[in-house]
Amino acid sequence: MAPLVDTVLEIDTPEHLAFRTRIAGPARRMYAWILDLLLRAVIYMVVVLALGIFSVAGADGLGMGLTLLLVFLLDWFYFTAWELLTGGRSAGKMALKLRVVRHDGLPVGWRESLLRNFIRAADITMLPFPPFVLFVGPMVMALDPQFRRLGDLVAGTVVVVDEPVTMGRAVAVTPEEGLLSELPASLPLDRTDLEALELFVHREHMSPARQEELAEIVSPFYADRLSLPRPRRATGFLGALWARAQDPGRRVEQRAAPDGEEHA
Amino acid sequence: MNREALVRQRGQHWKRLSELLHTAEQTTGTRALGPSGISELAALYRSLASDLMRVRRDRLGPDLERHLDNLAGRAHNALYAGTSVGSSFKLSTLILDFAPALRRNLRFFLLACVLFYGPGVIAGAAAYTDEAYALAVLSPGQLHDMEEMHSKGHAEGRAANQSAGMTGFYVYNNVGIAFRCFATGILYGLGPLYFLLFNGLTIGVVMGHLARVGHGENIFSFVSSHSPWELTAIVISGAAGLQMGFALVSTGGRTRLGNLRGHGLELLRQVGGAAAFLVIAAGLEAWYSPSALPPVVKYVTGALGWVAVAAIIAFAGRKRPVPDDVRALGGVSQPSLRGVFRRPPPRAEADEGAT
Repeated sequence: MAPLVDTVLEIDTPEHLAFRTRIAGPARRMYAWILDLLLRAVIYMVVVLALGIFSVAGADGLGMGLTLLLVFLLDWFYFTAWELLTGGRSAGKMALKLRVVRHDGLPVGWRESLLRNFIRAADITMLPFPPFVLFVGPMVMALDPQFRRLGDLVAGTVVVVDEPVTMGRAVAVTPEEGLLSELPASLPLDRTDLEALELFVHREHMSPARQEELAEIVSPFYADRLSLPRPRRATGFLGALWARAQDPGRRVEQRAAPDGEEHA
Repeated sequence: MNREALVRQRGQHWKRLSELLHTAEQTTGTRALGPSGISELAALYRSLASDLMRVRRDRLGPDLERHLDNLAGRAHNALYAGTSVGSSFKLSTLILDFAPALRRNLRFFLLACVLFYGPGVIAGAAAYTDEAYALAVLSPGQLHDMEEMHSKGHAEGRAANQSAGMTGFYVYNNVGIAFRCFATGILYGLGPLYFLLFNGLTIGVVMGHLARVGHGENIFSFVSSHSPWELTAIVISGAAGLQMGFALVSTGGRTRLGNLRGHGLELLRQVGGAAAFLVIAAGLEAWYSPSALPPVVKYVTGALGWVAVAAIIAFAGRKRPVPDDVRALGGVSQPSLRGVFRRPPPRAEADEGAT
């Protein structure tokens, strides 16, 4: 099969099980990065205030030394510390449900983590293109199909979405009940059709008019394929198709598979 | 088998797997589950594999498939987390493997030396003979500050309080420079090229200028004890950066990214060593270099420092076996000075061909 043109990381396991994870996009990663930046600023301020005690005690040099040491650690080891303690999630990544993994899907180790966070210095290099300033990292991410920045490329890591997936989310489309009985038990739909229907019926934040507009584009094809008259309400028709495909009770195997294949 | 039957039959197992994973994720990983829990988890994971195959083959619904994909991913991570090849951090490994890594890649080290010390020596000599040269590189204000800073000797030493502050500054500033010098090597080596030339030039001009205006002993006695560690560390991180850039160009038959990834650990070894050198340098620079000891003692310390640095680079970790990742890269023979300028032997064919 041709590789999926999608932001999906397919991972092959020793069990010959290929599972898929969603790759995190640049915007989401940027929000996470900003959160981490803010947290670092807060840590910095709290510690600087606490170290003020050295100034009071007349040892302001020691206070300054410790402060700079802290800045150094925050600059270079903040992310590594988080990633090693939490299995690839900094505070910002936790908040946005992201996780750093190796490209084989395993959690990051200290090598990958150190490398990807050292190279961060190159990723935040700014290239002046007056009147704009371009950061190297986001540009590299924009060019890479897996949205990796330079640090990810060197360390062999990918940032993936780490959200619990639940079954049976709310359906935003009401199937047309009258149509449901007219549909045959076995629908001439393949996997990509089902996937598209699935996405369509779960899509929220769309006005009914726009829903109908989109549905009208594809519903004639399905109606023709099923030798049905063009539907009156395209949205309801697609909803009915989806409901039938989901309805397990009346579902019939699409391929008349011989029994032996069941054990293959 | 239809979807409902599969969910009815297997749903409890998936739920149980999810519970086990939740426990493992919230605590210390699979260890928290105990032996029986781990084998239960492994068995559930294997049966999930066949469920997932079935869902895919019979197209039992994208949402179900995603749900099982997610479970499989979490189970895979939980089960294999502990075995990610030799992932436990050993500081000793990093330190001991540093010098051999440097020797294996000596040509980058030598190149970095030339890029750093070359401009340094030339600019130093030029600034020593002609003030106009120093003014062409640094502004009058910068030169004046330098003269101010080093116009006095170190007869009074430096207060402990101030030294503590400077330690922090030297770690922040110098290790930061070295790390940045390495990291920007990913830009086809342009970063280290710039940092090495720039720092070499600046340091040379400052030294030459101060010697010309008669503060020679002040500055040389100050820098002599920590400079072996600090300068070498900057050269080493520059060398690692250059090597990273070169790994993008000369890929040894691998893809660019594959070659880069393959070099990652070897680069990390060198940067780790450089960081250790810089911590030594920061300690010396803050506490020893500005002390009231007579210049002669500091010069001797400096000379001993160079001997120590040279000895570490030449001899440390000689008995260490060649690490697996280096072996996998191929083409890297036993370290020897003669091998530096020789072309690496041609790689064996079909290493990663049609697999």
